[in-house]
Amino acid sequence: VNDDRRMDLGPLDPERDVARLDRAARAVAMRVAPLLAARRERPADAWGLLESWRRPVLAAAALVAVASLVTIVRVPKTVSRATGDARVSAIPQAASPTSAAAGSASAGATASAPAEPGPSTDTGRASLSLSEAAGIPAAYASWVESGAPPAPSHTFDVGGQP
Amino acid sequence: VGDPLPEPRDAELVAAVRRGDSRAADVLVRRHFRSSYAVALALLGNAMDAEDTCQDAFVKAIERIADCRKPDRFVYWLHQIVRNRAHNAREHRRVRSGPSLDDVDVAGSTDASRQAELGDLGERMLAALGELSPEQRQVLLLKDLEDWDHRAIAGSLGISEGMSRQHLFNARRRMRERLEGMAPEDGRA
Repeated sequence: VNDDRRMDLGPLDPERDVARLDRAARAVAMRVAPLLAARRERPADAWGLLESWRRPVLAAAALVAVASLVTIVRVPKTVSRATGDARVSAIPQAASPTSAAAGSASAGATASAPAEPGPSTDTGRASLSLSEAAGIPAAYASWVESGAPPAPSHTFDVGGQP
Repeated sequence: VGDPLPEPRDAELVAAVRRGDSRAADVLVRRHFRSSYAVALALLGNAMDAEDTCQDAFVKAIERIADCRKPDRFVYWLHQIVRNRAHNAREHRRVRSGPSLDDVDVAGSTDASRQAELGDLGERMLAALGELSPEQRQVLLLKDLEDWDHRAIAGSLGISEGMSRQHLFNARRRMRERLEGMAPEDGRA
């Protein structure tokens, strides 16, 4: 497919009417003048800022949405794989309405008695699950939750485990 | 027109128009009027309608300049607006039962103003263009009237360069056949 013989379309050339381009340019200028004047009066920085941030913000929002979906899909599978039956059976006890009611009824006693099942234990379970979801071994998860560094003896003990 | 591909300056002009720079708008109009006119003429087959459509398209483009996502390819975006406006103009004209390029009959062309403006040869060319597909008309006019290269034509029409070459080959062949068939000595002009 190669026809190099150019056709002379001169009779259709728009500049046969020498005034056509000027006429069109003037007509367009008149019609858009109010719009352009309004743009000049608008704070340029605000518009430029919005324009420059529109696409990055949309991209970041899309990234967050994808990351959220991946997390939502992945967490239940990881938790069910990492936690044993004993822990799963313990969760309803800690989160049961009766336990919560008992805990709120004896608020003073709960405050002075740590390690009682109740709302605080429930919070710990959620953190533990997220730690495991992030791939942290169960043996280290409690240290991650507490924020306290493990003692060297603990590290060696855990490291020696199969 | 040397290199018809969009230059970086188009992006600067678009940015200036967004800020309300009327001189930048004027430069854009003058720079891209010819190719826009070629697209409009290819679709409408009438010089006056093509000019009106181009003006409308430029106004629309400046109004919606914030929607131009690739300012360095402003001219392709503008051509799409021209096509949309030309389509609307054709529909409007069809409703009014006026002639469209597809209906052009060289023997039935009686518009005195068009005859005066384009001349006999121009009228015969428009009639021959009416035998082509819209894509072939646009490729032919952008190539042989505006001297665009196939890469730019393909970018404007959203087709491959190979398809652009194919359209050009077929358009030139059919135009020559048609123009030879309606030569003045045949008594048809």
